[in-house]
Amino acid sequence: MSISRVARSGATIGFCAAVTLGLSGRDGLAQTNDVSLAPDMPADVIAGNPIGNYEDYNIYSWLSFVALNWPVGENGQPDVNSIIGQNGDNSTVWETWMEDYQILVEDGEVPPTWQAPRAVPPVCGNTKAQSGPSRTIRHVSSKTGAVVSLTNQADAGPLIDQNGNYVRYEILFNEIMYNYIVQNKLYTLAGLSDISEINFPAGASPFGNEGATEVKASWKILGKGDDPSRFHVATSYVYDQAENTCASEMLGLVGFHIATKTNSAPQWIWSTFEHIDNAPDKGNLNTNKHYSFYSSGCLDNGSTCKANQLPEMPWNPTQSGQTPVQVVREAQINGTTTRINAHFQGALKAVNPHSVWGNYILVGTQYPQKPSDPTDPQGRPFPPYLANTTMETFLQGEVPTSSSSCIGCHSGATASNSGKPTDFTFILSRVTAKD
Amino acid sequence: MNAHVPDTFLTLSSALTGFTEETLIFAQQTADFYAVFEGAYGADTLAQLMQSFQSAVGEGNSPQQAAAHILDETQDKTLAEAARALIVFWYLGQIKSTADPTVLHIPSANFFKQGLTWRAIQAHPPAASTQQFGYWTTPPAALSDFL
Ligand code: HEC
Repeated sequence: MSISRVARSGATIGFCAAVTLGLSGRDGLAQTNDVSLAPDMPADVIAGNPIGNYEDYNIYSWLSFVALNWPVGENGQPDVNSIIGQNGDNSTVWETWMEDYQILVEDGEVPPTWQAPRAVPPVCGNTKAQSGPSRTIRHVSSKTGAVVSLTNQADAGPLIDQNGNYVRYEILFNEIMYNYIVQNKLYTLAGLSDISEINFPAGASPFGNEGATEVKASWKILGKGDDPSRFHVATSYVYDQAENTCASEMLGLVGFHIATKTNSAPQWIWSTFEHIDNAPDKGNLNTNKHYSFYSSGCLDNGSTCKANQLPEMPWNPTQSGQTPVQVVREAQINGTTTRINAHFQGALKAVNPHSVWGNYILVGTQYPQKPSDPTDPQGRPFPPYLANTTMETFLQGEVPTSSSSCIGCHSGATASNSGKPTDFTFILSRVTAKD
Repeated sequence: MNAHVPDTFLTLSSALTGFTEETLIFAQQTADFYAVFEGAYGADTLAQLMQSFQSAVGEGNSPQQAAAHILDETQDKTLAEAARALIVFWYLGQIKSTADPTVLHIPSANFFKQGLTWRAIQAHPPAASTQQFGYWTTPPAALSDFL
């Protein structure tokens, strides 16, 4: 087994809540104890041969997913006395992390301290919450223009679900990234200019015990035809900055990106998960299953429902009842990944047959096969293309430079005031505060 | 990955092109040189190429000598032509079309991008760079790194 684990300070690795998986097949993985449901983030993959082993990276992704979605206890730490999904759903570790907009402050402001309660936009104060929204979904977009907004995908437009509602996106990062950004004042243009090279920690460092990790989540509003017991659910304020509107909604997690910097992967390891009800594979469209982003009826009535097309303009998330985007998954999920999905889904459902976490699948893991290739700063990513149907809906496919490659696109991220690379994060491309 | 690509195809291609097998494996990940070549020139020709390479190596020749042997038109003209077509394919991403064998075509943008020509000149294909902002201010990597 070639995945190393990091021990959280004060917590031991051999905790009693571990559920052991019976992964069989390739040699190394037969040592089942390492592939268990655990609250600890895996530290790294030790590349077994020159181009790495895809199976190990996919296990790494699942271990990360399980650790990040572990029931949260005190101070944003995982609760080691419970197990993921034991009550079906649970609030998670990553949801207590810092949101991008919290460090994208105005001139002269400083970001809040780690784990400080989040401020709710005034307009949300008038909203009656169903059960105390856990947080506010919003992005800051108005000042720097088109890089990101509440509802637009990277380099594309919005995704509209079968109920005519816009999917919402959220970006958060761990304490290590937070410490690095705050201590280097990278939330200001001055800080971005002063630093000679942006180089987030890849493992234990003065900034903390682990490597930098960031996540991007996609949420749909649960409505007609949706079964909330199948989703990880968060009651949230959905805030629209441009329109200054706010609504309390029940949201279901439909997509989840994880990027972690490790010593073996200076280009980071990119994992992407989806809810199983999102959309069918291109090769398997004759299905009566209920999907969040696909309707087989649409095909029957002969209307124009070409797959994966941007919705008609104008785009306005506050307007309901708009024409859904018909989504299909262009590339079938690879056989190795499917096998590992089955093992982890089985383990999660063994904890509780109603575990919502068993309804998520890994689509793939992109990693650098040759991290220090002098001819390619992207490190020869494998697989060369990778997309999530809810986050790179319109960039699926295999066309060089235009189809989705996590590393390919993120390697172009630069500071908002210069061409300085931001070490693969777009968060620092949206900084506006002067100093 | 690429479980369907026989090792001999890679060692043969490496000997014919002068590039390492690793580079060819990376290229093969988005552009299926093996399957497309087989489609255009036939499984028999491809099998013959690999077999003749393997037996030459088996007789104690180096991979380069074995490749030179295949490229020798006086031995087997058809085979030598197929071997040359394979070199062109790896370098330019260009191969005769199965629909019209008189026409050379590039099967997809990935073949264009993976063509070895770009690496041979220590550059990258136009409109498909993997470099970061400002790369033009530093000299390109050594040729040996591109092989
Ligand atoms: C076309 C370019 C592009 C591609 C391809 C892409 N991303 Fe992103 N990604 C972005 C941009 C731009 C942002 C910033 C926020 C936004 O626009 O939603 C972002 C945000 C993120 C974030 C939050 C941290 C940050 O940098 O802001 C994560 C994590 C992430 N992406 C992971 C992935 C993964 C995993 C993949 C591949 C499956 C991927 N991305 C593919 C452009 C891209």
